[in-house]
Amino acid sequence: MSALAALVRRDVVRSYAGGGVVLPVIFFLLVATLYPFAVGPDGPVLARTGGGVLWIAALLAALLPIDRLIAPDIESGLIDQLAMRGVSDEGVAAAKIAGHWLGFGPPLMLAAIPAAALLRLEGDTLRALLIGLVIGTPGLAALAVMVAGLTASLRGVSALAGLLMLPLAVPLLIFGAGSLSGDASGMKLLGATSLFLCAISPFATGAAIRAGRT
Amino acid sequence: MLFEGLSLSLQAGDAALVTGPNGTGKSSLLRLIAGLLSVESGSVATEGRLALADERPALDNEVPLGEALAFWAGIDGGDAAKGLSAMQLSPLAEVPVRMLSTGQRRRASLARVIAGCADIWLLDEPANGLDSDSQAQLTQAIAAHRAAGGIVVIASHQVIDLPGAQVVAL
Repeated sequence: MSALAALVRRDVVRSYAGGGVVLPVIFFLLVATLYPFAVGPDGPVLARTGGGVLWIAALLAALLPIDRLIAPDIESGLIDQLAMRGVSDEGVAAAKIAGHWLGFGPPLMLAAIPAAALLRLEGDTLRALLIGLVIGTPGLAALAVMVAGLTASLRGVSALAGLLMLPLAVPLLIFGAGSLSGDASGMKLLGATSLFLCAISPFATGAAIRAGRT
Repeated sequence: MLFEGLSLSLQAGDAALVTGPNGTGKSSLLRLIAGLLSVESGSVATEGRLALADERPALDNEVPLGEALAFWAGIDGGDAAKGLSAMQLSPLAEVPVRMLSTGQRRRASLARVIAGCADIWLLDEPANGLDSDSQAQLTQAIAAHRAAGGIVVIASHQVIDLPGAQVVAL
């Protein structure tokens, strides 16, 4: 098995077998459960605002495991060992993005169905939400890995990682929530933003890993 | 500048012992040979696959030792059982890496190297945390590797039994 495939497989297995996937999904569902209590059970209000709330929940769910994405593998020497085998740091970052997305993206999309029911999102809006999450969550994963790489050599980074990631995620949030209307241009902008993040994240993360190597 | 006028050439079956007080660059020299650091001037040329064992075992803390070693054996085409056996860690194969003691983690790091198919072993303070039995196992493994044409470079401030080794004093 190639080193990168082994790394993706290990991360995915760790997410599902180690319970890493449970926390983001529970968090996502909790937000959907609590939101109607906060704004009231008015169906039209929930339907109008619920999609945006789910996008914020998806963003924060992607952020939850950020301190476990890169730093433990640097500290254990795993990434150095991969580098000795000719695996580029950019390749490691790309594998991390794939592993992170597979670990939280599909479960989140499944959880979006009951969450959407709680928020009275139906029909075209639900379809747009699910398509938007398919397109946007890879961008969220790329962003999380990039921030994890940039903060990997720092201690107690959770708060800092949040501060770094949230502003960078604003375009995804805007276009993700905007795509709920089913407008094709909103979906295209979401796709472009997600693709851009997936394209630059491996290089930024790889550079951060190299810079931290002493 | 960390090193000046440093020259080292090793052939199949050779060994080198890099010695010196703390902070003189023993570990950095191994990382230079491993390609993890780059030289500002001069060159480092190696032929064959390298394996590095330092204080970081590069093993997943959350999985059993056998599984963690199998991860690397799968990548390297090696044999995890061989490494476990050589360092007498087979009884601990089902124990999560995070539960291992410092000495056991050191042995696990060496087991990862032994399990792989690397030609050049780079061992950073390999005897740290090892009891006398484990040191004897390590010595045996090194001798077997050299006899098979492998190269071993050890950085240590301790005395290591390494017959015929070139000594690099930093």
